[in-house]
Amino acid sequence: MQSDTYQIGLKNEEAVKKMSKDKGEPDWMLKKRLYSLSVFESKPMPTWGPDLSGLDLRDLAYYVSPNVGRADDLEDLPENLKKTFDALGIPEAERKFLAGNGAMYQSEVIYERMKDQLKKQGVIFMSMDEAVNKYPDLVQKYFMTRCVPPTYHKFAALNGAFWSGGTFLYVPKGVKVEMPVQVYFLVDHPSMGQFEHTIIIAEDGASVEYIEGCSAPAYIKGGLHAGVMEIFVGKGARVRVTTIQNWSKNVYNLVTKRAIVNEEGRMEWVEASLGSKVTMLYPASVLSGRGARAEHLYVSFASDGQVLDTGAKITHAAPDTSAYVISRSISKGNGRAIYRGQVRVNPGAKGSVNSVKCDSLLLSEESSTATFPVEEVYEEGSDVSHEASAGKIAEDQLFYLMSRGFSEEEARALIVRGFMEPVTKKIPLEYAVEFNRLIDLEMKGAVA
Amino acid sequence: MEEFKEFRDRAQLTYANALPLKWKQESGGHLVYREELRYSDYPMALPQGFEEPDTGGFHFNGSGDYVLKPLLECARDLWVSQELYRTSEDKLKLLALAGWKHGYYVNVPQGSKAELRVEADDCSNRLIVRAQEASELDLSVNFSSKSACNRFNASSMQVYAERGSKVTLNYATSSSGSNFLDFEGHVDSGSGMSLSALQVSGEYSRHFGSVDLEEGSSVRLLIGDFVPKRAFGDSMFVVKHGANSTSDVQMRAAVFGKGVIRGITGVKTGAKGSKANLQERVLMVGEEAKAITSPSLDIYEKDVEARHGSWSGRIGSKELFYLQSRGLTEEQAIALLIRGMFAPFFVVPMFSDVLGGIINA
Repeated sequence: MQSDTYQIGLKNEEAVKKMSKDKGEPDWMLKKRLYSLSVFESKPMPTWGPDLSGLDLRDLAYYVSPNVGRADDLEDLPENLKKTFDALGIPEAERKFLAGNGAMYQSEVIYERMKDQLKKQGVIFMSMDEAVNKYPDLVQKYFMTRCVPPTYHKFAALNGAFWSGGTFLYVPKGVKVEMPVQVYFLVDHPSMGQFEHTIIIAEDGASVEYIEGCSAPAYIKGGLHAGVMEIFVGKGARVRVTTIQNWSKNVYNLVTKRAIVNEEGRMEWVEASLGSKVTMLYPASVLSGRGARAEHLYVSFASDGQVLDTGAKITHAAPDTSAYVISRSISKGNGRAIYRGQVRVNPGAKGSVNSVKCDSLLLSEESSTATFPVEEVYEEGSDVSHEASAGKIAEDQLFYLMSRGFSEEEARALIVRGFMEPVTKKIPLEYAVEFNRLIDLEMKGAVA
Repeated sequence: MEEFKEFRDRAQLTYANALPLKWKQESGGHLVYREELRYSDYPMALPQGFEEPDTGGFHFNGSGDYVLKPLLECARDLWVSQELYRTSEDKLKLLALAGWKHGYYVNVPQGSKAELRVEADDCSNRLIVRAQEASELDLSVNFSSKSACNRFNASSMQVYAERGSKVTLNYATSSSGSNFLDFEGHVDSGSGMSLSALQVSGEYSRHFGSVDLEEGSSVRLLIGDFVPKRAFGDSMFVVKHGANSTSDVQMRAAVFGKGVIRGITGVKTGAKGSKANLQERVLMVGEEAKAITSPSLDIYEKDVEARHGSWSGRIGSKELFYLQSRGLTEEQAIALLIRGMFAPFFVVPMFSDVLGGIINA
């Protein structure tokens, strides 16, 4: 890529054409981008959910070059990025427990590496830009076709028009990737939009775990992250996606994630949301084959000025499918955590079972929470249930811990960690430790 | 009467221009909850205009101290007029609030006790009920007594339980055609309301309600919807909490056709010590059954205990097998299990009459 930045708003079509040309993309991709742009421009901003009036789409840079070359080794990264990644413990993690590791800075993937053994087994792990040129047929088959089409919603269309970076991960039939694959997303440009596009394909009987971490320094003016993730889970395959989102607290995080799960396949979503000003995150699982399963585990921590609106969208489209959702949210300061979920059981999806449990903890007087579940059941032979509770930290638990010598702050942090445990225990240990540390930081000063 | 006539003319004009598919609900004083469900379009033709109001339409049978007045004669009553001249953006609700044909005002004076049974003769009814301070009222209303309502019915009921009063309410509504019933309850400090309401849905039925709870008040709601084959029933109740208030909402439905069950609990800032429980249970029976459930919480106060739950599913094969092994036919077993679902309603004779026949059928 030669260009530095595309400012959006005025001449979108020219920007899209230039972007596609600069990336050397095939014609079908340009057509897809232009079609997505027309959908984006024709769709109104969503009027439901959190307030998006502070998001000025005309004021964003849709593409920002990282201005650094691609590195083959983490050591080759520029000093400032190296320091950041060192602080995040990424080099150590890569050595110890990752099958593949990648880093996306601004709008491009600047680093990726995968264990040789997996390459030999046919696993493909590369940036989406590279995959478009290297495996055009494979990408064309899956890119915004039946999983997340551009018409899905306005921000999916925006991603389709201006996507850059992201991961293409392909696991062939029967290959089990034992260690996780990780990608880290970093933005440090004032008011930019990051629109990475990720596709994960696990062929029949394959399994893979994908971890993504997101962060941005606090100085950026107010960016937008509108990534798209499309996942295809083959027959009997298993995919787990873990995201630890810690964008700075002025980023709009409007992400689209959707998985199509085939017969006996299993999709697991682990979503930890800490950062951003507004998050709208509704990972979707379409259970399209008999016996397909989905697990959605969410934890969100909404501090001052944050609105974290998350939830699961599950479609039971085949018989004997099952899904369960556990959501734990905490609101502090004037933060607002919302669970907004949709469960749909299609006609004919007999024997489908769905269970949603969401609990909210309110830590301060000004904090608020809401739960808006909708369960649409079009098949009599199914079982759909929902349970939720909301409240404050119980005084007796606090008293018990304080009587054992904990300060009030420590006791509260401990209770909050325990509250989140059903989800954090699913996060790989190294990340869970980091996550708990972040929670402790957020809890500092939580005692009024 | 002049004022009232002017009001009706204005409301009629608004009604003619109102869009049928817009409705809003507020909860907790903050949220505007608006949702247009895919199959909740009005399939029926709405009346073009309002019917002329009259002073009849009800049979009253009661004991204790109470005052009954046709709404037409209350246009100058200060308390009633606040209610009487209300409008709405929602076309159906506006029809029920302003376009009623038969309207009555029920007043239970301060410190009195009253028991009242009301039978509606016709459709399009409005009842405004006031239980004054420290009074006790036991009120049953059967909105579904006449077959005339099988075409179209839009009725409404507003109940005010003033400070320290105790109100027990039961009402039933049914229609094989199009039926809309709107309920509003206001429970003052230290008052309690217990409401059991049953809808037997017709071709298109909408039963909406909201209850405002003041400080230290409580409400218990038991909302039932029986949705036969080819019928559509939509029940929605909103409870808005004040400080130290308590709500227990149980919504139950047996669905053979299409059913929508929605409950919203809102707790606004400052409503400390609120306790809320909202449970929805939907039993789906038969191949054609479809159901949407949505139990929502919207909480702006830390010091609360709120929970909600929902379940929708079919009759368990174990239960069915158990009953059949005791000699019941499948139909009898299903009828018994549906009766079990609606068991809390059967303690009130009016509900037994309405439900008993239809379940057996």
